[in-house]
Amino acid sequence: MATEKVSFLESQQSREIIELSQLLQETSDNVTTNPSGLSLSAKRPVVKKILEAMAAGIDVSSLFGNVVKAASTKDLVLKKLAYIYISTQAEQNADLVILAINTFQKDLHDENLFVRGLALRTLCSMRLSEYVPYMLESLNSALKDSSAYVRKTALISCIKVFHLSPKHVLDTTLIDQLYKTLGDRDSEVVANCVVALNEILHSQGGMTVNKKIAMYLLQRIRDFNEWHQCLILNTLVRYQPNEDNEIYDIMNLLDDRLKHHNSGVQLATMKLFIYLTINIPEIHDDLYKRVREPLLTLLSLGNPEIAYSCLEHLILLVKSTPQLFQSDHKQFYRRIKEPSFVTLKKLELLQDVATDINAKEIVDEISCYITSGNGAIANKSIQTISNIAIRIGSILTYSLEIFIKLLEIGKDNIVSGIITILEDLLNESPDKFDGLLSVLPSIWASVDLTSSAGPAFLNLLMTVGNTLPETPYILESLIEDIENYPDASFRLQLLNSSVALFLLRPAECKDMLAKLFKYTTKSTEHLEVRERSLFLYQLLRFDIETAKKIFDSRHETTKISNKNLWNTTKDRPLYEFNTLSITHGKPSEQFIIDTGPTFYWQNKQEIDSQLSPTLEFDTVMSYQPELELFTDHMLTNLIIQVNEHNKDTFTLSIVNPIDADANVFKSCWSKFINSDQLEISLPETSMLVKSLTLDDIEDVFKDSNIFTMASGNTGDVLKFFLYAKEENSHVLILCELKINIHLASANINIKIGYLPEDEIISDAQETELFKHSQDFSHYLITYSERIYTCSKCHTHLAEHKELISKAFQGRLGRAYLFNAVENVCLGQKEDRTLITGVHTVKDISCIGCNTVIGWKYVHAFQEDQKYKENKYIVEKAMILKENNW
Amino acid sequence: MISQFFILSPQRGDTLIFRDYRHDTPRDTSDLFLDKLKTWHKEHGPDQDPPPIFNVDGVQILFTNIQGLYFVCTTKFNVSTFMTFELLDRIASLIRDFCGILSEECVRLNSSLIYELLDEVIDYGYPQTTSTDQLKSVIYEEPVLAKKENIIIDSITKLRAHGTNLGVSSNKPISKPIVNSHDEGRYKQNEVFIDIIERIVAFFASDGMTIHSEINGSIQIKSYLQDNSEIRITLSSNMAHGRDTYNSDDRFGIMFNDYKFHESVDSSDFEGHRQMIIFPPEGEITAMIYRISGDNLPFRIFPQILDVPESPNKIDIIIRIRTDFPEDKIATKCTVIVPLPHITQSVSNEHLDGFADQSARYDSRVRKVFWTINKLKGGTEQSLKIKVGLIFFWFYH
Repeated sequence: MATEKVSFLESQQSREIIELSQLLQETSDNVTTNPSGLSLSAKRPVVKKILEAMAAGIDVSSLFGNVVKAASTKDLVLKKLAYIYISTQAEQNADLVILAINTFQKDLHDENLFVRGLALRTLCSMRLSEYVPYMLESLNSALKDSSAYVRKTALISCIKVFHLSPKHVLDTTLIDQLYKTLGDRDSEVVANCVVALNEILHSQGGMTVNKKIAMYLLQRIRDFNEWHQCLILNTLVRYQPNEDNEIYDIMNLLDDRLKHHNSGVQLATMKLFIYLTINIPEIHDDLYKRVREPLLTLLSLGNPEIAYSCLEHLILLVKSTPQLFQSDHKQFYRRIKEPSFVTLKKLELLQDVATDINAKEIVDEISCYITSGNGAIANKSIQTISNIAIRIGSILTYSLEIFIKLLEIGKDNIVSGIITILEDLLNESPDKFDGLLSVLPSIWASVDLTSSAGPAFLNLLMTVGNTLPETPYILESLIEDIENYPDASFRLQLLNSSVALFLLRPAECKDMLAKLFKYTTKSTEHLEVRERSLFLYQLLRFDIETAKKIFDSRHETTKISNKNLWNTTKDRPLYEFNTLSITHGKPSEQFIIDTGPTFYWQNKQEIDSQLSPTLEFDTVMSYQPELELFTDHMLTNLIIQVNEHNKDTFTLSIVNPIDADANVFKSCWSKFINSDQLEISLPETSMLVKSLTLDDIEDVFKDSNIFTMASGNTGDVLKFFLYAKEENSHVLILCELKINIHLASANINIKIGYLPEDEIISDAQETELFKHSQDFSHYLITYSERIYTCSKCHTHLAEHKELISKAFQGRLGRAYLFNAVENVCLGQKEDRTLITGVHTVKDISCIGCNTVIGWKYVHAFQEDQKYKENKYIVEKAMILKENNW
Repeated sequence: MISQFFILSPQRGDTLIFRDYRHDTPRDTSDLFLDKLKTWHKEHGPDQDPPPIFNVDGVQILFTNIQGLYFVCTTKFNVSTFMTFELLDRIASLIRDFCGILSEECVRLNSSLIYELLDEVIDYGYPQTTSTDQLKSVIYEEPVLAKKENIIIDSITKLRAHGTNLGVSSNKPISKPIVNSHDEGRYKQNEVFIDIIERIVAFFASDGMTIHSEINGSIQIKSYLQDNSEIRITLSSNMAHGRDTYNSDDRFGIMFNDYKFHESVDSSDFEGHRQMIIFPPEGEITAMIYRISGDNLPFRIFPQILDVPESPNKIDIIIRIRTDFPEDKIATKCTVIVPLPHITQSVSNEHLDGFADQSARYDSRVRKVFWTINKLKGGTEQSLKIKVGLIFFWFYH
């Protein structure tokens, strides 16, 4: 059925295409002239239809030839439409583009400047490197064109050609010419010139901004249009004046830009000011005061998207200068008909703006949002009040009172939300919850116990309600009804709460606790719950005193830690002011995946080159070894600090298949002790990491006796559950590994323990366990201390961690590429033709026995081989692994 | 440095306009975007508005909803959010300038004109120019006028979003394309439309006291003037600019907290004589926007809740509204919204004085009473009494 439908759709589409192509051929080229003197071609509506089809995602590439013909017309609208088509479809029709070149050539010399600009723009938009010479030729004449419109188009086209063929642009005198063009009298030309230089010289940090250029741009800043002002101000942040006077001059000059009607210009100016004063902390306060009102105006008068971005920046500023908006909190109250994403951000901001002085007003205001009927806002409001109360002690009691009032109103979702955060609040003030006592019994009917509020409610009941007469009855009815609460976390908490209450009021709770134990120790029960139940049962049976001690000590407060994503680089966010980083709340590297602007394009070229017969040796061979290296690196990174331990007892054995049962794994996973959790970044194996498959990685682990229980692929993240068994002690090591391909980082979570059949964990065994965990770690560490020696005299030559690739070809067969080698002498410099082209190299020889073992790359002539410079090639045949690791 | 720009119609998920500038993001981003919106609503519920920025696999998607159309752009760069949103907004108003109105039908009819525009406005992801004057000379296609059916024409883009429903006021320059450069005959008259739109935002405590109030205002100019005429606008002289509102003094009259002008406004004489000299470019501009905080509210509202002694499950709510502006002024179409508690069972209401031109209706779905007064004279007082019957809950332990 489904395929029939699809094919029907396709056939219909292809029929449409055929009709369009016929229409295009049949329609005459006649151009009529309308009363106002404009040309109008009959083909115009047809091409328009083609573009509509293109926007709808229909493949219209077969019409290329016909549209090219239509492009040579006097009807400018038709020409424009046809050019849009050509620039988007050129790649699919590379061989037909030559037909269009003629039209381009003619239009490039048209007397109408807009036609010249249009032709140039379209010509350079075609991503076909074989036409680069044409493009360069027309660029050169266009840059000297008499019309500013053509010149500014030419500058942007330079960027396009640059991405198509960097070499061609960098090698010519184009860059010099661009720097000269900076002095153009037309402001739009200058602005595009800045843009072009920035992008072409991206790898060198963009255009050079010296004092002369900076001053020149600043003097002309008012000539530029608003968008160009944004871009130029953004470029100027790279200029750091030497004298304070100069800084003040610039700030005075740009002061009125803070009142520009385009918020982009305003923010760009603010960013520049922040950069200029980064080393003058004493004027920061003045600066922030200066930007305060403009930001508040944007918040009230901008559209919601602007308001949203504005709030992000306010949150950032408040974090660095908390008192800045202390008296403006009323500006951040929720407004009528405001989209919820703005309100949610406002709540986030209010949380930080609150101080001793305004906290009560803020809490009053926010508490109104809780009953407003919008679920997400209500929950966030509850959370916000709770966070304010935790931070500002003076408001704590008041907030609790508000929450208790809201509990009495008894709206389901609100009650659940409040119950969940009350636990945190009570941790802060264990002696202020008297008011809760009276409401607790009456609200339990309205709490959604199947949600996360369930366990929280039970915990409250245990900490607060242990003196209430109703408590045992509430628990009892819940136990009677336990079938309806299948959630493990709920049952665990029910066990805890019931036992705690039993310890205080044994007479009332004896029966129901027995019932609960009976139910939760059934074999069908969730493993964790069963274990807990058994444990508590045994504890009560054998050592009731210890049990009391344990449950008493549960009241110790746990402080809530404030996590700040930026904390590692404190001032970093200000550097990324007015960018998306602020929105995402993290540095740009973490969400901008590839700053190279032509990612898809490069990728395509790479694939092409792999398919072509001139396949490079390195590329093919590197695949498997790089993979090995990648996992090696991951393993060696696993543990950061390990004490000296006995090394020799730790080996991984082959796990017998019976142990490798998914259910066993699952139960072990929830039961085992967490031993290590870490996050590492992976080596820049560039594209290769991205092309790894799950099987590849699994195979590598298997070689080290680490097995895979399950693996999966969720978008960018590869996830593995791995296990290994230590030979002597039978300790089972479980590991959850998440590799984020795009961020090139891995998240590792290790757990250890014994298999269920040899369980019952005694204290002694537990310490044993920890020791094994460390052994495992150490095993991984020793992995990194592996050394390569000379095969003749056993002189140490290189460390394994310096190995870059095993995929090279030496004179004697396979060779390794190292970052650094030790104990070698360098020979004479000479040029040598290697598989990958000509390189300047020096031979290296072992200082022990003077045997030549490889060479060092001194200079690589080809751009793509530059990475080898100052690296070492060592013949595999000339080295050994020390101690045969 | 945007990669792609597209306009989507949310109803059917159609891509009306699609322009790929840099070819560095996947071609199917528009589908990706719609999927993302759908899953967002699934996860967060339909009453939650998705944030305007998404990150999908390293492709940044920024969008805005303008008159029921999604204006979306994608990028791989760490761009300025402000600049990008301003750009999207500006493209929308350019379409409005060139095509008269902005609607799905209008975009469909004028797609080639819009492609022409997009080609000039952005080149390889870099914004070039958005000035209507400048673009006029390079756009050759003529606008196709769309029928204007049920479209609220609000030229007030800046205030649009917070939900101010301005309706169509009598003197609004509607649905007429600014640009008709190649068609000299028809629109020759020199016209200019100036609107001053003020939005008052006020927060009240439950006892009727004002917590905070401010005026957000803007002066909008839509110009059809043919030659570069100059317009002078002078505001009344008792206005002053004071950044520090906490020292506001009556002697200075009204104090601006902050204001800013459009580029075409020469404001050099504003500090001295409240005078602006404007050289309005063709098209619509916001000449000035300003923010004033103060206590002078045109309305006061006093709510009062009374228990009905004889029946414990009934309450009476009395709302009084007083107008504090001169008697010769009239406020039109005032609506007071009264939210009621979720245990509301029945509602009835009676006006205490004056029935003229007003109505009150209860919407049980949202549990709110909407009290609408069509004409409200200055210096008067109106009141409404709402009788509410409540459901009672019995808790048993």
